[in-house]
Amino acid sequence: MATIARNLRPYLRYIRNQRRTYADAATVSNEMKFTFAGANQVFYDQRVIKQVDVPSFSGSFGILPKHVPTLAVLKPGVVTVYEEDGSVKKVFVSSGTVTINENNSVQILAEEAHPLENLDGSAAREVLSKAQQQLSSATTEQDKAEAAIAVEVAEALVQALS
Amino acid sequence: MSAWRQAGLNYINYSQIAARVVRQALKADLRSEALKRDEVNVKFTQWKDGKPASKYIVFILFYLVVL
Amino acid sequence: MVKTHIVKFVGTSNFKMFSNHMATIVRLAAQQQQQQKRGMATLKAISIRLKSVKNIQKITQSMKMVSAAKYNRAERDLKQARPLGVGTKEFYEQAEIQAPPEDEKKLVIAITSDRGLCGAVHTGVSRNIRDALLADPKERENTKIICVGEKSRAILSRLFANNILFVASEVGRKPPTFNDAAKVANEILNSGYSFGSGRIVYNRFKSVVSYAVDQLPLFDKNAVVSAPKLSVYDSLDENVIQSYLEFSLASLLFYSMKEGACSEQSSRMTAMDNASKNAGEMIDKLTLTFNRTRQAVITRELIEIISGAAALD
Repeated sequence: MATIARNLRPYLRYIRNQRRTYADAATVSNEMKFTFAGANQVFYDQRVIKQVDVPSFSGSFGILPKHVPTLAVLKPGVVTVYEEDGSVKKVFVSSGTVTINENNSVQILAEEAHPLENLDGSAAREVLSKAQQQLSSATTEQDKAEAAIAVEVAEALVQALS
Repeated sequence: MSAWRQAGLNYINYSQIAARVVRQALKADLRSEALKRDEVNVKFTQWKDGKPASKYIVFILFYLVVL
Repeated sequence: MVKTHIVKFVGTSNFKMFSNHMATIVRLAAQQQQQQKRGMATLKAISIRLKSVKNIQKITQSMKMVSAAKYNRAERDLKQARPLGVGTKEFYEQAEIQAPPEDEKKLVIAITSDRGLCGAVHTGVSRNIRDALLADPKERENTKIICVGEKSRAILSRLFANNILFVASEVGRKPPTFNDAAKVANEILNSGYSFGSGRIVYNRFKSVVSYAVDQLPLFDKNAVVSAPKLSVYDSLDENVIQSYLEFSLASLLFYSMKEGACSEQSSRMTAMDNASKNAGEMIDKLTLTFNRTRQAVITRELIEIISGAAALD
């Protein structure tokens, strides 16, 4: 009898451990695991936050915990992050992707991301007028498209900074 | 469909242009560091049939055909 | 002769040439040392060789310092780039995307650089690809290779020249930027090669002393759309998926290039450290031989003088 008990002990422990991990996973999934990074800077790495608003090509939307899984492509604009302690952070993103996975992890990956306070309003207006000039002087289809993108981004910048 | 995709651009092109514009709008003290990210160093050589396809050869052939 | 070689290499400061000949020089020096141990080593020859080894040590030491500085920067950069790669990979894992079995066309991207003298960093990546392609002739037929960095091109073009799609060079002198990765990604999209699945083979940085060859998966739009678990993802249209995958490709490339650059610098640091140590050992041995020979010469001269004086008596 004693030998049977000894033989069984590791299996019992295994079962118990497994149940514990399941329970842990359940508690984690009620919170959003939020990652927000640009190629230039990391803002959040798997942190828990309350809410985040993102601008995307399919329209701006807010992400709360337990959001339905989706993919989106970022549009130039301001990402607003509402942290656990109530503070709000605004970051301008140029472009990138938004991923909301089934396991409640949210990733915003951008090419350039800068806090609004690092951007200069007058420089943005200058860039906008330059881009508009380029758009009016563009001749080929491709040049026009490129200039139009620049105008779109510059407009978003000016709007975010005013 | 977006206008830029119709013009033959893809989202990578879009992103590159957008990032460049954002970098230009940074405050002056941060801008010089950020503009380094505008740099592109890579060069490409296309390969065909196990050999690097030289652009010069194409050029010369082109000239021979035209002249 | 060794010395003139070195002087030439230092003088031209041609890094690539130097790196190719470095091994030869060290071997040559060692050979000569052995030869002269057997025969009569002249003081002059030893001192010349001693000087040349000291020069080599100076070079390897300064290369170590340079790569140490570059490594610090690369590691800092890597920390910033990591979420970009890990986050992108997470979607592939969560959505359980699998390569469609009917599409056999594959793409392999080798992430290396143009520069050598950094241990087995580049050979590791190339060997991984070589082994996979040699193991299965069918795979060899259906796989195209993209070489990022001249080093992988040099190794892979020997066996798989027909499989190479294009080569991206001028990688490794400066830290890779997102723009570099975007250009490579763009080139892949514009190459017109349609593949069912693919992988990026790169060196993943673990710590200063270790790195390992690793791979990231790549999928075509069709593979993503046909993934059974994609239905849990809400409100997707084709444009979004296409743009999403385009950006993902660029960020995966960016991440793997950063990992590769960091592994390379750390590996070069270790390699140069070892080289300096070896040179130091050689200098010690040579100095010993030099002193011993000098002593022998003095003793011999003394004996000559004394016996000469004795003969006069």
